Amino acid sequence: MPVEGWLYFIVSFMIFASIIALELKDLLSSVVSVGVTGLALAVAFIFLQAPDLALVQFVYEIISVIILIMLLKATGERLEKEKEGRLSLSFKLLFLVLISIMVIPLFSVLPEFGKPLLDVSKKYLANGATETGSANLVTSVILDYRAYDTLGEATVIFVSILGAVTLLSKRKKHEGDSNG
Amino acid sequence: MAEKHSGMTLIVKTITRFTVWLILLYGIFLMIHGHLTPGGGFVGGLVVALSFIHMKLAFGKKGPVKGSGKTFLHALDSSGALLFLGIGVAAFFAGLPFLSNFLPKGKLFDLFSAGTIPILNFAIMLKVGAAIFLVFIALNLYEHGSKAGNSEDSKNEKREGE
Repeated sequence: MPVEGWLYFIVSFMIFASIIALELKDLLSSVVSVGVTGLALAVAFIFLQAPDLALVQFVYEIISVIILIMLLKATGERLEKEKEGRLSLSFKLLFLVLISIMVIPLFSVLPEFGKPLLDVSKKYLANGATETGSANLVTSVILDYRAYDTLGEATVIFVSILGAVTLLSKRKKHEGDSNG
Repeated sequence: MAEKHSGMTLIVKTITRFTVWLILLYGIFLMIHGHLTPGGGFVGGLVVALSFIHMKLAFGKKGPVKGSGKTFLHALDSSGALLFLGIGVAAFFAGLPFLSNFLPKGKLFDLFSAGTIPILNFAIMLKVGAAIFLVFIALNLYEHGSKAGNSEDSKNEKREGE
């Protein structure tokens, strides 16, 4: 079985799991479904021969599922609240048909899977090991050729973590004030 | 009730003593060999943070990691970011552009090779590990604070009832 076949299988599995995560009423089961989606993405990265990304996705998915389950435990809500004004099933199906009518002709325009190999990547493959001295070419790209990108990514993580911790600490202090 | 709030059961604690240092060492291994094998600073930091989360989940408040340590984690997080920037600026003193690889490259497949890449990996590991564990600590403290208060109240009520 070629790689594309496995990818079709994994991607349809992910779509199925995410639809289940949306539709289930039990929030814990939804979180488990989201975790299944992410782990299937890690398997897809393995089939695409990207072990670095697969490792990151695998570990990150575990941490996010742990944090989501802890949040569920902290808030103590197990069931999703009923929302007013949700679209009915017939409307959803109508939108699905309309979107597929618009999207399906575009598939014929798409290039073949993995075919246009860029000139930049050819240069990296040829000179990467000698120019940077790193045996792992992915690391040589993200920390040498594209180090600015990694710097920006580190800044994004720094600021977002700072914001999250600030919000959480503020909430705790507020509760203490209301109690005391 | 008292056992429940100092972490999980005895089985989990015993297994954790065997596994947690393996996970920690694997995270450091992924970081050190980031330029040789699949891995790197980001996933190494995540695995290191995961080992601390593992310990925190198993032992709860009475674990080996005492107190919140938020200030220390903030310092680690910021020093990782500063180290990354510092290596970028240090390239100026070698007469090269910002963030260029100015150290000697060494032999391919050697542990000490690839110039600044292992140091950048170390900086990213500090940043990501401290940041992820910091978020976990922030959530965990909030949960423990509310729960401990409730449990103490319920204990007092029980004692009064008895």
